[in-house]
Amino acid sequence: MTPRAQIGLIARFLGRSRGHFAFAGVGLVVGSATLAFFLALSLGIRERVLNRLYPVNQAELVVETVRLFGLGIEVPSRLDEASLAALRTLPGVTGAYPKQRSRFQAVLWGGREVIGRDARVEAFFDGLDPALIREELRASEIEVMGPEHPGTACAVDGDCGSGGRCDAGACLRRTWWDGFRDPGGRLACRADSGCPPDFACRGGRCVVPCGEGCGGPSAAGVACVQGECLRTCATDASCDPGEACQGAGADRACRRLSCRLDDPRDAESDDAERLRGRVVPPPGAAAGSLPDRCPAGTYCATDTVLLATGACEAPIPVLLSPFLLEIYNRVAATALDLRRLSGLEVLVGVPFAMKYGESYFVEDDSWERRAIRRCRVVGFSQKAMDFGVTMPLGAAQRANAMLRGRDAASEFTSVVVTTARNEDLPRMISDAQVLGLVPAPRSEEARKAANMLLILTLVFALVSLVILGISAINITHTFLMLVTERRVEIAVYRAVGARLLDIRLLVLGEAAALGVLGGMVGVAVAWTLGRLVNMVAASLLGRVPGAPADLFLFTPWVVLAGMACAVLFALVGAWVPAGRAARTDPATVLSQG
Amino acid sequence: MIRVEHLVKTYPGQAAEAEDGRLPSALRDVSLSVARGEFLAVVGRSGSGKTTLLNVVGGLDRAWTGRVEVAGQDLARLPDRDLSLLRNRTLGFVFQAFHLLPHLTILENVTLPAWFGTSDRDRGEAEGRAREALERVGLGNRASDRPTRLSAGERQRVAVARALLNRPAILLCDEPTGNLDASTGAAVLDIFLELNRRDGTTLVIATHEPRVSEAAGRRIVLEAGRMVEG
Repeated sequence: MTPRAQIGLIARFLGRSRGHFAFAGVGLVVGSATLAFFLALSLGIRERVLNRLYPVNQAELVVETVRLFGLGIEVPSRLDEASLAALRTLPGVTGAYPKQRSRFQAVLWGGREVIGRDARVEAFFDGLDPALIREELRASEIEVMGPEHPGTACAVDGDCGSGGRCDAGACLRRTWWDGFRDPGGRLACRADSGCPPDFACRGGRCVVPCGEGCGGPSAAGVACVQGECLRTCATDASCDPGEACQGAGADRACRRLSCRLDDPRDAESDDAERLRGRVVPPPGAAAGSLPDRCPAGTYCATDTVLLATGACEAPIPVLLSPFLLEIYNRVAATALDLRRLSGLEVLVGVPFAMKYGESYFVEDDSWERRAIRRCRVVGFSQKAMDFGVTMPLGAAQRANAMLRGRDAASEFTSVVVTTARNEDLPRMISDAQVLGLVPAPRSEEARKAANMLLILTLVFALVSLVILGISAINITHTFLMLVTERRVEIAVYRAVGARLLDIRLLVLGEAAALGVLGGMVGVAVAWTLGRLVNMVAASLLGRVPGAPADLFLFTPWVVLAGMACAVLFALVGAWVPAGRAARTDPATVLSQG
Repeated sequence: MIRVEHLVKTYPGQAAEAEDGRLPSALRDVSLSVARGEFLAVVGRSGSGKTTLLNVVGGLDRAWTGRVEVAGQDLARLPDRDLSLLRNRTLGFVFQAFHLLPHLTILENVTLPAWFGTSDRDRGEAEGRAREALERVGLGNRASDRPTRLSAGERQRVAVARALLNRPAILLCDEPTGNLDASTGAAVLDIFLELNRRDGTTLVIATHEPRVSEAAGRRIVLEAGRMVEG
C-alpha cells in the first residue's frame, strides 16, 4: 500500500467517524493546550521578564558584604583589574565585563526637543564595557527602529544628518552599536593619582605612557610618540572625533585638539556654535593646518567650569533603560505636566548636558573640580541603569578619575561574567566566592525566580502529560471499539490484498492524524487563552512599569512540542488497538456473514 | 493452478481425529488439484468444510498442515507480504454475504483492491477498470450509488466486479448465490460461466445448490471435512 493511498483511506475514515474522533481527541486538545500554554508562558516570562534582568549564561557579581548588626559591611576585597583577570581564568568563563557607577554627584539637563522644555534632574550614571551589549544592542535596535535600509546617496557622514552615517555612497542609520563606544577625551591633572588606571599625568594632562611599549591585543595602529601611546595616522579620518592628525614623520599621530571658549560660562550654553569654541594650536603648528573651531559634531569640553580652556570632544554616547521611559510616561509626565513620549525611538539622538560634582540634594565638591560634559542618547538597553544613564566604561572611568581620583576609577562596582553554558554558572559563582565576589542581589533574586519558574513549568508540564496520558487511555478505548466495529472492513481489506503492516499503519495513521488535529486545535486554544490572559494582565498591570505587553512566547518549538506530544500520546493510545486490528482473522470474520 | 495435498485444518479446541468424525468446518486429509481455466464446484452440506477449504486456498487462513500451492507458490512458505500480493493480484473473492463497505460508493467498493496495490499509478488506472467491470456485471449506471441502495443480486454483482478488478487468474466464490433468489442467482451464475469460458478464469465455487454444481466442469463433495467424491 502506498503512503498516498494510506492517507486517502485515513482521511475517509476520519471523516466517517467524526463523532468518535472528536470524543477521543478532547483529551489531546486539553493536554496539548495545557502544555503549549504553560511552555509559552514560561518562555515568555523567562525571555521577557527574567532574561532582561538576568540573561542566561550570565551573572552579575559584586563584592561580598557581610551583615553585622544589620549593617552591610564590605569584606576587605576589591573588584579591580586583578579580580577580572582572575575571573577570566575560571573554568567555563568566556568573558568578564566590568561596570562602574559614578562616585560623585551630578545633575543633568536637556530633552527640550522631545518633551517641550528642558528637564533638570539629579544625574546618576554608570559605565559598562560596550562589548557586553553588542548583540543586545543590535537586536533591540532592530526591534525599536526596524531593519536598516540604504537611504539617499552621500559622500561623507555629514550628508546623512546627525542620526546617519555614509557607507559605500549610501546613507545608513548610525547603529546603536556604532554609537556606543568611548569617544575619548582629555583629562587635566596635577598628579598620576588624578588619572584613570594605566594613565599617567604628563604636562598637566593624563596620557598613556609608553612604559614597556604600546603593545597589546587592542593596540593595533598605536605607537609610542614622544613618550605617549598615540594612534598613528595619515589623515584626520583615522582619528577620533575632536582629534586631528598632527606632527610630521614618525611623530605624526592623532592628538586631541586643544580649545578655548570665549567665556567659561559658555559651557552651559545650548548654542552649538558657541560650544565649539576656538581651537588653540600647539606651539609650532603650521598656520592653517588645524581647524579654527572644534570640528562639527564635537564641542569644547572645558577642564572645569572655572576654566575656558579644554579639549574638543564628541558628546558621550549614553544608553537608557526602556524602564526609564515607562516610568517617565506613567509617572513623571503626568505629575510634572510634561509631554508623553510616543516610543523609545524619539529619544535616540537627543542631546543633554551633565554637570559633574553638582547636586540638588547635597553640598559637595569644590568649584574647581566641577565640569560639564555633553551627552547624546544613542539607544536603549536592558543593561542600562533603570534610574540614570549608562555610558561606555572609559568615559565613566575618566569622570570618576576627574572627580574622585585613580582609586575610584580603578575599582569596579560589579562585573558581568559570561559562561559558555548556563550549566557552568553555578560552578563559576562558587569559584568566584573565593575571590570575595557574590551574585548581585538582583541577579540572585532573578536566579531564585528562574528556579521557581522552572519548577512551576515542570509541574505544569507534568500535569499536561498526565492529561495526555489519560487521553491516551481514552484513545485506546475508543480505537478498540472502532476496531471491533470495523472487523468486517478490516477483513475485506485483508481479502483484497492488505498486509498486516498496512492494517497496523492504517490504525496508527488515523491516531497520528487525530494527534495532529488535536495538537493543532490545542495549540490554537492555548494561543487564544494566551491573548485573553494578556488582555486581563494588561488591565491589571497596565500601570506597572516594565510589565511586558505579551507574557507568552509561542516559538515554533512550543507549537512543535504541543503537537508532537499530542501525536505521541495518540500513537501510544492506538498501539494496542492497531495490534488487535492487524490480528483480525479475515477467514473467521468473512465466514460469519 | 491449485494443488492441495493432505490438507488438515483443525480449529482450536478440536481434535484432528475426533471420534465422532462430525466436527464442523475442519478439513481432514483433503487433496485435490484444479487446472488452469477449470470450473470446480465444492459441494457439501453446511459445516462440511467448503468455506474453510476456500479460506485456506485463498490464503485467508494460515493455520493448517499439509501442502497448498496456488499459481505455483507454496502458501505455507509465503511471507505475509507475498501472500497479500497473491490475494491482490492472482485471487479474487466473492462471499455469500457480499461484504461491500457501506460507507463507500459502488465505484469505490470496486476499486478497493487497487488501494492496496504497489503503485499510485495503478490506483489511478483502477477507476477505468472498475467502470469496465461494472459494465460487465450490468451495473455501469450505478457507480455513484451506495451499496445500501442496491438489491441483494446487485450487491453480489458489485462483489463480483470487485473481485474482477485486478483481472485475477483464480476466482474463489463462497456460496455466491446463497442469498439470492432463483432468477438473480441464475444471472450471477451466468456471469461466472462467461468469465470461465471467455476469459479462462479458474473458478472454485463452494455451493450447496445443485444448479451451480451442475454448471461446473467438475465437482468435489466434502462431508465432515473429508473429500468423499471427486
